[in-house]
Amino acid sequence: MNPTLIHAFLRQRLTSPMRLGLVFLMTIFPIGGVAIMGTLQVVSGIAGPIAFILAAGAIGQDLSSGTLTLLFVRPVTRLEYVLSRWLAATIGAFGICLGTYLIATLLMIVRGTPPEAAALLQLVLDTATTTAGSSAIMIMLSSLGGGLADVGLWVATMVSVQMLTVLGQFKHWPWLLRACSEVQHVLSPELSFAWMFQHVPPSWFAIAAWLSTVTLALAVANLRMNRRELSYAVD
Amino acid sequence: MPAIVVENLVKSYAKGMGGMGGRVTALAGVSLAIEPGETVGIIGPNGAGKTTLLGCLLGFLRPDSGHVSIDGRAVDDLAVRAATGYLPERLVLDRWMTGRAFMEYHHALAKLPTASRRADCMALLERVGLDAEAAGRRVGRYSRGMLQRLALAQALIGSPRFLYLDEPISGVDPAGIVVFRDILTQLSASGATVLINSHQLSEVERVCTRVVFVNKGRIEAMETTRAGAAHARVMPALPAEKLAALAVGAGASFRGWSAPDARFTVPDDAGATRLIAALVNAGVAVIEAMPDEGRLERLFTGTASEAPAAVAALSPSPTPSSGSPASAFMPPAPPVPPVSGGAA
Repeated sequence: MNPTLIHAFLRQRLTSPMRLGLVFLMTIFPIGGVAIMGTLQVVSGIAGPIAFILAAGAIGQDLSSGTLTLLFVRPVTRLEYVLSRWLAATIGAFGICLGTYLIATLLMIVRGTPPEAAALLQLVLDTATTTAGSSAIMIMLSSLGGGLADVGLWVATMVSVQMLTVLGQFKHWPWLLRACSEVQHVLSPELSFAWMFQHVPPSWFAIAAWLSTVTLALAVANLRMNRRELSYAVD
Repeated sequence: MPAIVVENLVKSYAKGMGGMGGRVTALAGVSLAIEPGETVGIIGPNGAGKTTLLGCLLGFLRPDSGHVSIDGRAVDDLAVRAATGYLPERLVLDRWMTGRAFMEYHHALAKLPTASRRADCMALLERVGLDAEAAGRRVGRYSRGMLQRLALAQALIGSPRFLYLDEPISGVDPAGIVVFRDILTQLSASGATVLINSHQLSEVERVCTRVVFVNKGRIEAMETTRAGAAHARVMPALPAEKLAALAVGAGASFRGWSAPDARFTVPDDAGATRLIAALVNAGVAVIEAMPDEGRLERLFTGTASEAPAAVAALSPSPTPSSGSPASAFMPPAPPVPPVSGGAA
């Protein structure tokens, strides 16, 4: 991890009008929903999309702009770069979500229906794993192509999965439905901490699946970056 | 031990979609050794392989075969990188940062002490001629010349021992070129090894101690250049035989007479001084002496072998006639063979 890279990435993302606009749109409506309905449930789905917004193009935009050549002249390893990008996107998304939850909680207190501490804590823990997981997937996709190709890859895969799911349902092919479900889980890795508050044993399969997905995504990103040549001569 | 050693470097690129069009060879066995403190220019036509060579030296590109070592280490060794500075041809800097923030970002990436960060960066910005106002401006609002200066300042962070400059004076105004020359002189004095990839042949000839001519992925020639030759113009002219005898006596050689100029080959700057002294002592008024400008141009256009390695001119009249060839003293510049293999 490289604090300089993390700091610079966060500064760049959090001063980008386009990304800030998208984050605003992604959070303002759920906050409005909390004000009306008085439940944290409304804001629970923002973590994945916000990580998506912040991490999109994390590596690809550096690749297509050409700034990586100056970066890798410095004593910075490519693994350090990949992990720093991932951690920065995770920290940024997690921080924005925490801010949103804080506003939602204050609104609920004002409404006279404060959230349960356990529910709030579970939401925060779930958010941490969702932002880390979604950021890892976007970092992996971003390492595969320049610019915002990762967004295209993610959307294309999701659309394909949806179409195949419909086909699986129409043809009654359970194997296809299962495969599509797994791909969706990989593209949006989440890990629920509900077991912690429901006093049931944790799902070690779910934990292992989340950990392996995140590790694999980062390993693929690192491998791709290590194999990548940097020069406009090879564009 | 040479600072930079390149041995039989081969690099090719896939052509067409997925490499279906075969491969195109960018470097076809390049070998080169650069001593510490040398300033070496890489010249050659477009597509010759200069940028690919620089990419391999910087660790951006993986050669198909061959070996590159910097200070006896691999190119991607972090210790090597910590001692490396790079000025890219394409100035794709982080446009959203201010000039100062950009410098501080690279200072931090170079893992240099935090305590001196602000002072180091401001000193470098000042050194390349960017004032406090420019330092506080966003990089996206810089002119081309300012970007070039900022990129040069960035390359100088941490006083690198290995400096790679790709078209360093492209888009720079005359004042910037003077700054660039001063910086190169200081770097050279400090023992830094500098590689310059440039099409500005006159500038390369002026600042480099050696020039490598790359063509079609091979080193076709290496030329040593001189530093600080004198320009002489003399009157009255002497017979060619007398000039030849004077030249031999001064350790130089007479290359020919082409009124109003005569050309000599001298071994080095001291040899030029000796020749001028010999001419003056023989009663020849030396009006002007200067280097043989344009030698690299001749090398570039493939006529190097026809050109004398060095010239000096004698004029029967103090008024130079228009269109006369340049008069100059030059050290001999025999082609230097590369370390091993690869050179044409």
